[in-house]
Amino acid sequence: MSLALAAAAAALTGAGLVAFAFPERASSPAERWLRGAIGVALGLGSWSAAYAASLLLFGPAGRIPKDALLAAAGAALLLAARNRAAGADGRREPAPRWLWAAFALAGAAAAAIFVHDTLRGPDGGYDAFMIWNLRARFLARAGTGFRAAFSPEMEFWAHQDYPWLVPGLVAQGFLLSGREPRLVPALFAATFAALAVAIPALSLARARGARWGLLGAIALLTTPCFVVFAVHQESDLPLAVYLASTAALLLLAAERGNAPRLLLLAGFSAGLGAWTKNEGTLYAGCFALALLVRTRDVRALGWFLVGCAPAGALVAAFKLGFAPPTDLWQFSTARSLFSHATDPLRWGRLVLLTLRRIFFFQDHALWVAAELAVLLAWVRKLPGTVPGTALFLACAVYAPLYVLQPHPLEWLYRYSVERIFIQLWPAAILATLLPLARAAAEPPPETSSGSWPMEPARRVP
Amino acid sequence: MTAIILALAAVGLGRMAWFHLAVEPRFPHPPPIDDRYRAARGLLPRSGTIGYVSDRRVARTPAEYETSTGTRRYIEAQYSLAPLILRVEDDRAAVVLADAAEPAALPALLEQRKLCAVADTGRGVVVSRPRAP
Repeated sequence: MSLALAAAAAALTGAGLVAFAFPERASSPAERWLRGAIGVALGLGSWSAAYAASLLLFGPAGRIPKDALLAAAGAALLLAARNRAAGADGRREPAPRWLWAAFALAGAAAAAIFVHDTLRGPDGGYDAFMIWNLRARFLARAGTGFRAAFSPEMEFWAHQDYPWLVPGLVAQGFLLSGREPRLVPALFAATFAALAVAIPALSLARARGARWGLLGAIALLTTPCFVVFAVHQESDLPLAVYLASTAALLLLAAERGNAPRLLLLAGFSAGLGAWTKNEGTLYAGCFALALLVRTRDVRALGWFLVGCAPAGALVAAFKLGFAPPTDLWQFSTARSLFSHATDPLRWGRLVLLTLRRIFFFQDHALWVAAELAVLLAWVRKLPGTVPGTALFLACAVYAPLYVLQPHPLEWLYRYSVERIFIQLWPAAILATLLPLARAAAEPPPETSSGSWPMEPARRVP
Repeated sequence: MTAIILALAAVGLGRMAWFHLAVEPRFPHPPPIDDRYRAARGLLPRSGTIGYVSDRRVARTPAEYETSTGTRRYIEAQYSLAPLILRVEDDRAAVVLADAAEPAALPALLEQRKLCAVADTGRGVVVSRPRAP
């Protein structure tokens, strides 16, 4: 019964939010599937964030009433959206069979590696048992003593200050099953991996046809570290999902003249990213700034920020009321900040480390080098988009963060840069292939001033 | 463009296949973490705080990580025994978990920390308490 209620809470919330945001019915199979994928991501995120809010406010007793409330709210949103008009006929360009076969091969290889490696190491990767599944065990096992999960008496390796969207999902899975099956975190990891592929791929398929969707999916599936992060059951791929979902929703909003409801949902997705990992707050800020810079529309920014507010409030309440300070502050002093900022060797080492990572074949194969080549050769000449600008801003902000942070630079870089890459990569594939597909389809005008025309915005009444 | 993306994908897929099919099987499976601490968990309080000592150093800051070979073992113990909190280097707590990488090092560890064993759960893990002064 409680399992069915929990499933209904997550499913109805996700479906209701998506139905609320889109004023018309899906216009093509790709758009229908895209809305479904975004709905699953937002439904899971809402279910976890609501669990966290109810736990912090009312203790463990609030878990089941929270599910009932979510299910009712989701159903109400769905009912309110039941008479939507049909959407304009969407793009339905099929892809060749051999490309579907290549996609199937890449997907099968990733799935086989996921199953094989999960069976080899059922506790997940180092960060899974050090942070994420550790937190889930605290939440599921401690009952009313759940605040122990954030105790500063533990060594800082437990990262008690990290937001806990993924631990909230896993803990609820444990509580619903009555045990702690290792299948629970593995299933959530697989779900988020599938969503990380689906959201950018379906966005591309919807906008540019199935060929580009499949190419986007193949690019992600054959990035060597992608499946490793999924196997490791860490929070980086879930954050990547919310980042890609935000990017996809912002692109959809732009097509509809910055439709307020889509901007709200994009902000909501960015907020869930902030509740997934600390970096998510940075990305939400980058998206907000990019939205303002690219659209010069303060109202659009306002809608986006209102969408961020629920999860943003949860992050703020947790950080201010429960979590110990993050290690980046804990170990920093004014003196260390100043000496790092003015140390040219530290900046130089960061440049060298970054240049080496571009060609880090073990994790990226040749994808990063190819991405940079494409950005430099083509994409920089095209008009900027909100997601592209946000990703660029995020990368730019990481440079001073790496230099100013208090830990040994090489150590932190080695253990974090791949995470940042995989967080950004699905959204980057979307932001890169979308203009590239347009460039491949349309010859540049002879009187080009260096920028190709944007598609006219379609306003939906 | 399609050909370039597929060529890059072939390179990536090749790298994945080589690593996961050829390299990884050479290394043994890591044993389930809970196996090591299952017996101790039954003897320890379900929640609260206990001390934790080891024959290997546990890093207290990132700068110490590379030279502190006991860090992973502490993290695994904390993961396994949650919601019990393990306080590193606290050998004056009412209950102390002594967790040695080398079981043969346990007597010296207990002696050095002035602890007496309450239960030896095997694999280098001992539930102990401080000796009476």
